[in-house]
Amino acid sequence: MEMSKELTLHINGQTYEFTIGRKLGQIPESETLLETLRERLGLTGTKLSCGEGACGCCAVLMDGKAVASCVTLTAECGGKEITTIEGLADPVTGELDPIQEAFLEHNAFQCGFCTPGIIIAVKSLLNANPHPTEDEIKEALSGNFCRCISHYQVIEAVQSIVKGGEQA
Amino acid sequence: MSEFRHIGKVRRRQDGRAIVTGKALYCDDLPIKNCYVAKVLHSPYPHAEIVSIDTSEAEKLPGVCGVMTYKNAPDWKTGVPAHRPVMSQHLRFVGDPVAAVAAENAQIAEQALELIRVEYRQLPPVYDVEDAIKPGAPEVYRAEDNIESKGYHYERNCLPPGSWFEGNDPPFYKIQDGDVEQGFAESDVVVEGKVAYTWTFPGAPESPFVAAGWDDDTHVNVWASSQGPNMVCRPLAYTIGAHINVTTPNVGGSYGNKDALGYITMLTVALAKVTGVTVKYALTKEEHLLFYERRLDNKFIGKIGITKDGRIKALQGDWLVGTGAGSELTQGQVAEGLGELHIALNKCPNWDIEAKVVVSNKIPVGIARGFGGQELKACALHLLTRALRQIDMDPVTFYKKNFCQAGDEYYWRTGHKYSNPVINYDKCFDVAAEKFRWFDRWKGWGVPSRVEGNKAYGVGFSLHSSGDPQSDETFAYVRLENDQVMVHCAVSQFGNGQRLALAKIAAEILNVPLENVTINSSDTRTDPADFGAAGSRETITAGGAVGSAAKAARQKLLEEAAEKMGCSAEDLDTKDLMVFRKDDPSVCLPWIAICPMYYSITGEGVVKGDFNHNNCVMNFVEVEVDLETGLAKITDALSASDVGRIINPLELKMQFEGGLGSAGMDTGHLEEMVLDPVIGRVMTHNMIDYKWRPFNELPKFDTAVLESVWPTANPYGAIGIGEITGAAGPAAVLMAIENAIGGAEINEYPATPDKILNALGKAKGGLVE
Repeated sequence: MEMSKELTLHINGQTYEFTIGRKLGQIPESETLLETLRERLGLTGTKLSCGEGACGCCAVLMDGKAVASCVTLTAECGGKEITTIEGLADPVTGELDPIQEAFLEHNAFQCGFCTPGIIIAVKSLLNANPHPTEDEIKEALSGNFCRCISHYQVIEAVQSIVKGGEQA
Repeated sequence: MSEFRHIGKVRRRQDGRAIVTGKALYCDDLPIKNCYVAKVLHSPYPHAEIVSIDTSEAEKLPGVCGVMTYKNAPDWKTGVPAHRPVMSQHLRFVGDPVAAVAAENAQIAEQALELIRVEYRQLPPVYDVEDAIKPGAPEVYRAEDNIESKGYHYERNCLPPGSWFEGNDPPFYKIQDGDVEQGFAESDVVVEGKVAYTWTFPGAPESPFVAAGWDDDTHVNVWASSQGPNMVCRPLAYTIGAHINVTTPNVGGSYGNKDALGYITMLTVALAKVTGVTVKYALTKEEHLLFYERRLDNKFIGKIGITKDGRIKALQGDWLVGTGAGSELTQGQVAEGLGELHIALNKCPNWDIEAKVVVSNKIPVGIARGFGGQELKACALHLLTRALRQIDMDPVTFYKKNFCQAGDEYYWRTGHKYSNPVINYDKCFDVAAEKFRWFDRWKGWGVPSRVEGNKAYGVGFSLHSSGDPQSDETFAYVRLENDQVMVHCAVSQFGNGQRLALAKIAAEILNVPLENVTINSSDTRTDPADFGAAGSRETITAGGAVGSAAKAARQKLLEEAAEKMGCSAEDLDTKDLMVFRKDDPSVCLPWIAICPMYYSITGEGVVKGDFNHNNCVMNFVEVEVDLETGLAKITDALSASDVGRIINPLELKMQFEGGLGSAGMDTGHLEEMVLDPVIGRVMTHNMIDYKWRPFNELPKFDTAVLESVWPTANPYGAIGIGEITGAAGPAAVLMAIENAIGGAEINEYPATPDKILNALGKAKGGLVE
């Protein structure tokens, strides 16, 4: 008989208890974090685009660092702190993260499909480097593809936070 | 412009908060209840016939709801003219659907695909447009497919010309005006040659998505990631004899390419019919690149004559348009492409150019911004540079002389001539050239602007103009209820800011805060008919229809207020949800007293459209070419137009910048689909191998935007430019590259390092012919 393994996920400040296995309701070993977020938890702000870790649309924070959830297995996320785009705003006051506020202020999106992943990548960058140069911003976002060409407004938005001296 | 409250002001998009918090719903985020998942088995061969197919094991798999093949698929066809069946025994490209499965989840559906047994008989394929029209070439379609339109028949890999664009008039696929032989005789310089524009992927981050479920035998519900919901439902409804309701939530990028979604909607609606369940088909990115509709490829083989003073005298040529294994609306792109060439070279009196729409065993062609003109002009205008070089005239000076001016007549997509009596872009040439410092940087044909070590810099220019910005019908209505304004117009959210523009127009006319305006979610159940977001048209057409509807609602509001206030509507005005007497604002009535709790005041509006309003975008670029590696980069770009009145300043700037991507400007040197000619499969079927511009490869980008008030149907005199911001880009980029490398000729797009080094005689490369 197949053994069930327990899996505890910490996502956006909530704790979720799952078991890994092949029975109904269990998380198979092959399930990606993206599938768990979107299909089990209804966190559809994280988007599927390329499905192979190339485009950045599915980025989430794992212990503060951006990872591609489409190529991350949920079974390997036990004990990690996962934050999705839905978890950036203050859960009590609803106050937006300064990055989200800057994206609104600078209209740093068009179709908006790649925007959650870009915001997560910016958060990851600012966690590691609160005062990046323009080149460091561009380099850090080079794994996030945007087809509408909102890049210029995104860079402006990120620079506004850095210049504003706010710790994101 | 300070006279307005909302128009021309920077305002946050109403959907912005949802987008940055991840709450905005795109198609695949929708909770569609009891929805099965579709997966498709694709042909592994570019050209084959199904000898036998056995789906019995797949059908037995628990969780599978049904399997569709050519044997049980409905006998429907899509394309122009109808030629592409739901499923066929005759497979025409790698990716052509062989079978579709509906199952409880994606894993079961994929397992089922593996249980389908197919025996194929391979047929010889053909890929190149010139090869496909040679005698004895493999036939992609056959006489028995009965492809016919307006008395023309499919013949030797050529689809019949013409589309529904001409109505009942003859097909528009050639321009034959004047006498080209006489034109060449009057020319000082005559050039001849062939230029090829490659096949590219204009696709969006969000892969195409369609879900469909039948209510009964005559009603279908469709959810589609489309920029034009009426384009999804109306042609298909006609084909299948059922009413289709379409919901389009947020769309994750489109660029024209997710407009009609013709084939995959037909496939999904058919699968829903065969299986009797609601089913969703979300393409994977690999499917998106491997089998979804792409941009057309083409070759122009022609001859051009001009005089020493830069007057174009004659243009002759064969335009071979590659449409792959199918045409969603390629003949329409031919019609608009011809029109766009005619606008650009409007002063040419003698024309003899004819298009052939050629099928092959490559991926079918769909709709993409630039829509025929981008591809034709990338080739024809590049050939023209050979003549300009001989007369030593720079392209800005040349196009200013030859471009269509107010009052000139131009061909448009019906095959008839139209004329715009007022709009002139003369001043735009001057302002933009000065801002780009064109005449400082231009050093002559084949002369770099500067050379720094191994890096040579060159500049290029091209322009694009379409007759579509006020085309076709858009209907709208506006409801006033209590203190709210509800706008109904079938405009999807796909990134261009059009819904914000409509909210501003309604708020401006009714003089209310933007927060009191709601744009109804784009849905054909509740929104009236609209041709859709195409050809930059909705700034005028949706803007005009919503403007008229808001004015009509305002008039009714004032009339009903007048009755209550015992005066005439002419005595009244409204601001901030109060109606008041113009001569004594203290005599007033709030909206909620005029339209109380359960009360609607509705105004209707319509723009019926014409082809007499051409827009224009000019692209100036500087490129850097590494003379050692052959790598070309755009280093500086300026895009320019006169847009009439500016509605959304930030979104307008971003539309210009957007011309770089989505297989626009970057097809000059970067974007390209690569075919493996041995197995007939696209090798660039993922987002690493298909090159897109990333964040760390951005050029300096500037705009020159003139603001006039044009007499358009937009209530504030705006004209849209979104569709065409990158369309002239590839021609400008290739021109700049040739100048940077000292004038060595490149006649094939994109100018990738191998082609540049070849042109410089530094390398021999490419596949052996």
